[in-house]
Amino acid sequence: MKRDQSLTTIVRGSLVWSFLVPAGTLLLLVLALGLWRAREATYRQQIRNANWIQTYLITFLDRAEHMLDFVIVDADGEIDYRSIPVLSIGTLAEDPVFRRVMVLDGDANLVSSYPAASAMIDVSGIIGKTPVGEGMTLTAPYFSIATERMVVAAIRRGTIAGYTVAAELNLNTLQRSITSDPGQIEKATAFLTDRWGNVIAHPDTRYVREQVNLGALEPIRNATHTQATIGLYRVDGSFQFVTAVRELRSGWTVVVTQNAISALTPMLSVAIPAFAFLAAISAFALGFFRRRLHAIVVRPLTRFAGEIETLRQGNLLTGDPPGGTFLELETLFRSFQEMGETILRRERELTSAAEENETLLREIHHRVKNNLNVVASLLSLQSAAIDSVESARTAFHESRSRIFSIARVHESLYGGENLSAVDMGSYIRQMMADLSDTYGERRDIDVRVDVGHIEVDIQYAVPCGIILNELVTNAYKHAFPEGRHGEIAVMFSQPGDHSYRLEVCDNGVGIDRDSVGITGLHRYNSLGMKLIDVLVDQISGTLTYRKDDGSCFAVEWCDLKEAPVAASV
Amino acid sequence: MNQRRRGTVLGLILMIALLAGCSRPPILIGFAGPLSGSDSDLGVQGRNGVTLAIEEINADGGIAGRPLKLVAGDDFNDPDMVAVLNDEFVRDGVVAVIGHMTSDPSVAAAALRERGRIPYISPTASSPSLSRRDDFFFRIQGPSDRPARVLGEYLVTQVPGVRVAILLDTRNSAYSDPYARSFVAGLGNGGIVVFQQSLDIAAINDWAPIVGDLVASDPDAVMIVASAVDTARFAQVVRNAGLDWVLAASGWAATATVSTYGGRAIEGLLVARSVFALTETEQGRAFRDRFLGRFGREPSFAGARAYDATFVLAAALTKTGGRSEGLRDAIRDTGRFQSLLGPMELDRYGDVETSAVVFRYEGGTFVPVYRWSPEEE
Repeated sequence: MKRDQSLTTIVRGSLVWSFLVPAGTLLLLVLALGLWRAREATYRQQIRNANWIQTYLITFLDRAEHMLDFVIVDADGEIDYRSIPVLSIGTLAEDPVFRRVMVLDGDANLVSSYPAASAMIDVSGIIGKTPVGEGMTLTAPYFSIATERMVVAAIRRGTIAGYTVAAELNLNTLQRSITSDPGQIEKATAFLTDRWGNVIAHPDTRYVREQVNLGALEPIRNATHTQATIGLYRVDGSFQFVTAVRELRSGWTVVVTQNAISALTPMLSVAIPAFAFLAAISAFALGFFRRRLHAIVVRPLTRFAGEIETLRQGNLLTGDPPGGTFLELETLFRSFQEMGETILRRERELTSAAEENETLLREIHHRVKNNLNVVASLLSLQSAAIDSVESARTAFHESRSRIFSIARVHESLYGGENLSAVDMGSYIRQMMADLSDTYGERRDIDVRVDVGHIEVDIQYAVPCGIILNELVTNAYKHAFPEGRHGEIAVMFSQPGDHSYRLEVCDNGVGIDRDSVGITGLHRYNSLGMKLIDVLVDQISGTLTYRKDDGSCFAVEWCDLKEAPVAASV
Repeated sequence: MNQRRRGTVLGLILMIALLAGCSRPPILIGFAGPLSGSDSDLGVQGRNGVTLAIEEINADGGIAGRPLKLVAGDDFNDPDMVAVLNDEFVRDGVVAVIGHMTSDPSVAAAALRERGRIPYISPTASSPSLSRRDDFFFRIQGPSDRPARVLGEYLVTQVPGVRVAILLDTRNSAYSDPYARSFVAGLGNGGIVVFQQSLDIAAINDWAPIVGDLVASDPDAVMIVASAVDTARFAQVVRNAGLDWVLAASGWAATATVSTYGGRAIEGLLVARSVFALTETEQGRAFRDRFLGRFGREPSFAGARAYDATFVLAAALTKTGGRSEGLRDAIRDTGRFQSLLGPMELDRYGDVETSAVVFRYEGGTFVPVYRWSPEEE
């Protein structure tokens, strides 16, 4: 099946092959059967007719022979043939069987003729060439000069006086009798030929006059006196049923022809309306079936295909499924409808996600910019404290540690599921591990981390990380001088829904209260503390210091983005 | 409908068309000659000869796969019918005509220059007036002047100083007049013409005045140029009157018909024609048997010539592929061909040169008594 065919074409083709062709074939077979039966009936009727005509021909020839015998017997041996009165043969010639009667002497010279004919005296060329037996003999057809027509002569020879009576048969009478046969088939033509097909008598006198030969017709050529031969042949431009039977004595062939159309008309008059009726019913059924199929299948499917096209263009299938159709199509329609809705919903989600990602990307760029600004500021601050090679090395070392704390935040971000928030638990633990490695020589300092799974927005995570880095570094560097043993504790908690608390404590020597100040750490004359102060301000947090067994710094802030408006006020 | 089904449908349609086309349109061949009346012996024999030839050609596959079909027309030996028949032939689509059989209609046919331009091949027309004309008219019968002359020469040898009376049929004057002139030329100084009359012989009902005139001229021989039937009738009249003239007739009468109607009255009749007896060649004998078996009648020279003419036409049609275009040239280019009586040659004017044979009717058959062939000149 070609893939570019429309369903209509496929349905039409399928109907033609599955319905019309079988139906048409069946109808043609029925018609052919009817025609065959009609042909057989025609043959039977023609054979009956030909046999009847043969019977008539036999009767005609019997009559001719009988009448010739009458003359012969009446005159033979009793009177001289030369004295046979003209009246006698004239009476004979009046019989419709004969057209002309002649009495010939033994040399075939014409002795007497009725009607009188002076033109032909010696008829030996005609009569003399015909072998004459005991009974009546027929000549071949010849042109009679006396009557100026084609004739056949019946010859009867006397046995005693040696004269011969020859009579030209009235073939017109014979032909009229044949064609007036009440048993004739309608529009049939009956005629006579000799054994070679030369026409002897025919309703169309031209056939006789022109000595037409129909010997090419097989039934005529093969006719026998025992069985009629039949066939359908093209004669004079039309198809004819031809039936032929041969009369034994004369050797003549009785031929009945009938125009095939005329012969089949009775059957056709029934068969054609029946055929037309059946054809009409078939056509109606075909049309009805096609219409139904179109309504139930083709049209809904076509509409469905149109809807699918709509779907392809990005529009949803709307409305009800094609009504009045089959369940499968409705299911298919629903499925496509739901599929469209699903696709649309996912498209919206994807769009939303894309927009979110875009926002996030902007945010990331923004944060990268901020962080780089932070790094730049750190480096700027650090540079002011460099006054020697050693201080430079220390400054670089500290800067690296600070920048690394920022990097850890980003590492946590891309390693986690949420790109906008940092799991402070893992972040702080990782950072503390790093710092422990950095200050590996201080194994006498224990580190304790107390933090759960708390996510903090990146906006706060970076400052928080730097602050943590600074506080822990300070603790490592200053809380445990001279190899003092101690502990650094880091706690991170979420006291409120949107508030966070970072606490770094140690049990070291502590910080001088004066150097810390009452209100903040900005008086502390170190870059680290200044940085902490700045970052706490940046996150709008508070830094508190408490000196117990050592030092304890606490930074608290509130996530203003997440906090309710009332809370932020 | 897929490709295969479409192919199947096309195949079925093609098969039906081929089956319907088994009867490819036939090539129509015309025949024109006298088919009825007292002159019908030539016409019927000619038509039957053409019929037999066509049946044999068709049995052999026809021409270019197409069968030949005969369309026969009766010209009643009337020149006025020629144009009528020609128009019918043109209307029917006939490609060529075998005919006419007698000279007067043939002369009229040769004059049909612009009426369809159908080639004619006459089997028997022998008027010298048809010779050496580059037209659409061909014939495979030699001109009659030679046989007529030979007949005159022969008569003189049989009856030195012969006194001859001549009767000519005006219904075929294109044949009879030249025939008479050639016959007289053949007599030369060895004989004289004591009586000559042209008349419509077929219309004669009372022969007495004519016989009276003939008797008054005291001829030794009477030459009649008429049809076979009319020649037979005349012979019957002469013999019935007890006159023992030597009777001579033209080739027109040299058919079986003259014996049919003449009976014993034509015993001793001299005729001259341009063909030998069919029984002299193997092809002629085979043809005679086929013709007799097909029609139940002996073929005359008219049947044989018509048979030959049909094969000449068939050979030309084979060259043109069954088409009428170029058919005239193809016939003209026939050249040498095999006839039932031996090789013949059609010259560039569509004429043939044939032998001349004098026959005497003896014991119910024509017996050749003198021959002349072109090589003798």
